[in-house]
Amino acid sequence: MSSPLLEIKNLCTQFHTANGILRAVDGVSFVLHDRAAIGVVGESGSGKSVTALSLLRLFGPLDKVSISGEILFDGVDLLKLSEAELRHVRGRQIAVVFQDPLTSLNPVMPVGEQIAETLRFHRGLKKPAARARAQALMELVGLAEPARRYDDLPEQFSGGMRQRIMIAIAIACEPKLLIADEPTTALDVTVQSQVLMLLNRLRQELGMALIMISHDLGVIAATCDFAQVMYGGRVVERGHIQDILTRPNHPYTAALLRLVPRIDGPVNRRFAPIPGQPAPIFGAARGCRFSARCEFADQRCHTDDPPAHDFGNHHVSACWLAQERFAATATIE
Amino acid sequence: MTPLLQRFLSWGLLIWVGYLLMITLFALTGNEFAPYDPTRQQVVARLLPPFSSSSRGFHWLGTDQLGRDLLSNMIAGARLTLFIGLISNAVGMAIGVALGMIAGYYGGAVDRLVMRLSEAQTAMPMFLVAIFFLTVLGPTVLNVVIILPSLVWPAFARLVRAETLRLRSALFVEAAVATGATDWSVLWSSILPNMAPRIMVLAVIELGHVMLAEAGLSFLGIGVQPPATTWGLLIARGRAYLAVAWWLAILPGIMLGLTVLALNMLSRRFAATSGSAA
Amino acid sequence: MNHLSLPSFLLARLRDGLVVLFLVTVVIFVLGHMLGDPAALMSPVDASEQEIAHLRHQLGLDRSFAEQFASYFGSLVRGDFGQSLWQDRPALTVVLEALPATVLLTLVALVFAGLGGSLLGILAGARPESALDRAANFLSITALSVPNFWLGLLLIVIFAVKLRMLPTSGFSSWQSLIMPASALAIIHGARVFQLVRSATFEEMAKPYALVARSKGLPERLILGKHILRNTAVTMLTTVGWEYVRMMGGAAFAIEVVFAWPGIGQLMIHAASRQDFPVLQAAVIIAGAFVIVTNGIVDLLYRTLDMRVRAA
Repeated sequence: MSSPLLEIKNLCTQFHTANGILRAVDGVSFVLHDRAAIGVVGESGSGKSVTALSLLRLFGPLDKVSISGEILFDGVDLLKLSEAELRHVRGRQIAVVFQDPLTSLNPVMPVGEQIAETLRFHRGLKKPAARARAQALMELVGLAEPARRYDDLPEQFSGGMRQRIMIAIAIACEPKLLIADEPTTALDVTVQSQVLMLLNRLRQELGMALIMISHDLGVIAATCDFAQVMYGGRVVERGHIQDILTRPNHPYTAALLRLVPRIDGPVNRRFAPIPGQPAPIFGAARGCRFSARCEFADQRCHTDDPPAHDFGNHHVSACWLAQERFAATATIE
Repeated sequence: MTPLLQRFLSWGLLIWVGYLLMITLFALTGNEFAPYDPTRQQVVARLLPPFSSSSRGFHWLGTDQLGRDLLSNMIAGARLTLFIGLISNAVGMAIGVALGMIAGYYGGAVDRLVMRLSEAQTAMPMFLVAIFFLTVLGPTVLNVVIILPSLVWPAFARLVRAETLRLRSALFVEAAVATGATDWSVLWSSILPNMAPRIMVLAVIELGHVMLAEAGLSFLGIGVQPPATTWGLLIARGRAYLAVAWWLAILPGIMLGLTVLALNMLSRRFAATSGSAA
Repeated sequence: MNHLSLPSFLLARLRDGLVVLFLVTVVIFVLGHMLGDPAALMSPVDASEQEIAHLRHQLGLDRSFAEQFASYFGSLVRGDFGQSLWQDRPALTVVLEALPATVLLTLVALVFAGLGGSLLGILAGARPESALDRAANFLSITALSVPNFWLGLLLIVIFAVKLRMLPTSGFSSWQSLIMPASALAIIHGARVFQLVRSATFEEMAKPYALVARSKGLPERLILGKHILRNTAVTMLTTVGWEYVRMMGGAAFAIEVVFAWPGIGQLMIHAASRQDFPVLQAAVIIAGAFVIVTNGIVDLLYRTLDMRVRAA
């Protein structure tokens, strides 16, 4: 087996805020191979976005952050790179597609230029060459009349088209890894599937690996081979997408799946929302992060960190009761 | 101590608060804290630099061309400077708040009129008009207090109008109107209290502006006239001796500058804490 | 008003500007003629009642208010601002002679204020809470807390009296320009700094700035291209407003401090000699400047804004 493209070991990302130290990511480890796709699922506050942003250290100007652990990308620990060195990774080896294409694009700069500038900076292309290549990219992502629309401003495009522009920007330098942070959340449902299909196609054509972040299991299922469920800054379950969907082995995962309406389910089935709210973790925490809201939690769950049980075929779950549950092979009702 | 007050206070801020309290004390007590009679002349001891002594005693900040102690004059000058500043600011605030509320609440033609007036005034070279006004009518304290509010009322009017517009459509205002409250009582009891913090922040800033404007007028000789003292006048008086006694013009300016600076620092801090609490 | 087409906008702006100018003349007229007795003021001290009455009739001051204003306004429009009492020349000529010095001073100061303030503002806004940011911010608040004429005096003490590097006053050589322009530039630049700093900070916090960083672009590109485009309007309009402030009176206090032969200096001399025609003319001319600058700023704002919103 070849060495993985991305290997994250015990990543901890903490924000120093006025209210204390916020542990947004609290010991996350996983591996991603070339051309593979992993989906990171969770509610807001689970740490899914921060995990991805930590790779490229994309934090706000006022954020006080400390990161520990290792992020090995192509054998290089990204956390040990200086800001200047990291800039060569950003946009070129690892690219990001953000959630809201309206605010993610510079409102007063022509869209073509926003695509071209990565090419000019990373690849050293001159203006005419960059322009040509940018137009080719626009066509690649499915935008009609690239030549005419090159100089248009973002507001002259629809939401779906803007997201395509964002994708064009991201893939411009043919990165090895693409991170998509809730790329379809701000889009109309009808446009969502188009964008997802585009992402799949581009992944194939350009041979990129993908980290898809979403709260929507459907989006993950449509684009990824693996799924990783996060809660409270930790990974609670991970496995092949099929295993996660059909044989979840963590109460949280199961609860999330119960929230997905099924067209073939009983008409009057009531949704079972997960009681309680996800709480941000300040300071030290003990035990399973989900124990406060878990219906199966017992004493051990509240006091001791659950270990990761491996069920073979890359399926792991961090739950004290995982072993027993696995034996019973629970499925969705 | 309420949480708001707690966030507001900090060591750095206490310095400014303390300074302002000191200045207020000077203003209230007149010459009480002045080491010497500010008007007492002693030509023998003229133009002494700071930290020098005369037969009267030690002069912390030196003496002027007639031997008058500078520190005492600066302390004495606090009263009128503050007085003019506070009154002019209060009048400007009253006018601005009233016009702003009317414009924001009733809208329509009244709103347009008030806004045009305020725009026109901002467009006019008000300082020049003030110079003209004072030259024609005579440079008295009363005239200064009449003309200075005209420099600040537009700022208040703009703020209050925007706030009134915002609050007018708030639910609690609708509730008050629904219970039959008159326009006046709605404005006074429901809308005004909610704008109060922002108005106060602006008032503190504008107080600084007014004080600087008064100093400018006095400096040009068309503001307050001697024998009254304001810091602006002291600077003007010291100007002639700049080459031989720089402290006469510079030190009163520092006192004025520190006062306005303290006001600015306080208003920023207050805006930051009340803004987030609001 | 932004929905109007450009010609309509210009027309409306012109109309507004003229209205304001008209208001200025009315205010000046009212103050100058109705409150206080110009005839008495203009006559020598020992003039008799008859002589004053005669002068009053000559000046037409015994006519009705409306008539007086009409003739006053009429002559203004013709460019006749009256005769300077002090120099026995047309008041307008006296004012226009002093104008270039003021324009030179204010424009030079404006350039430095605009460039310096904007540059520092962008750097500080991009590095919030850094040493540069805190220091520059504090200094700018301080600069805005002191009287501008005092700052001028301070500069004179340091550079002319103590260090003997620069001339104290007047307009003898280009070196005379340095201190007065610096005094103005520091204070007005401080305000430009504050506004550009907060605008930059706001933009840096927006998602597109994060996206630009995620592309791996270096800071100079992000600031110079992305942020600048979005803050340019703020910068230009702020600079415009500062010019309005300067011509509205701030520059004149500096002129007096440095005995700079501009309109401010002229006004003070005229005031001390009770030369109303010159005073009037100065206020109106300066007022016209302010109004024109306002109009240009509005126009700039609108055209840049329109381009931003090109659809």
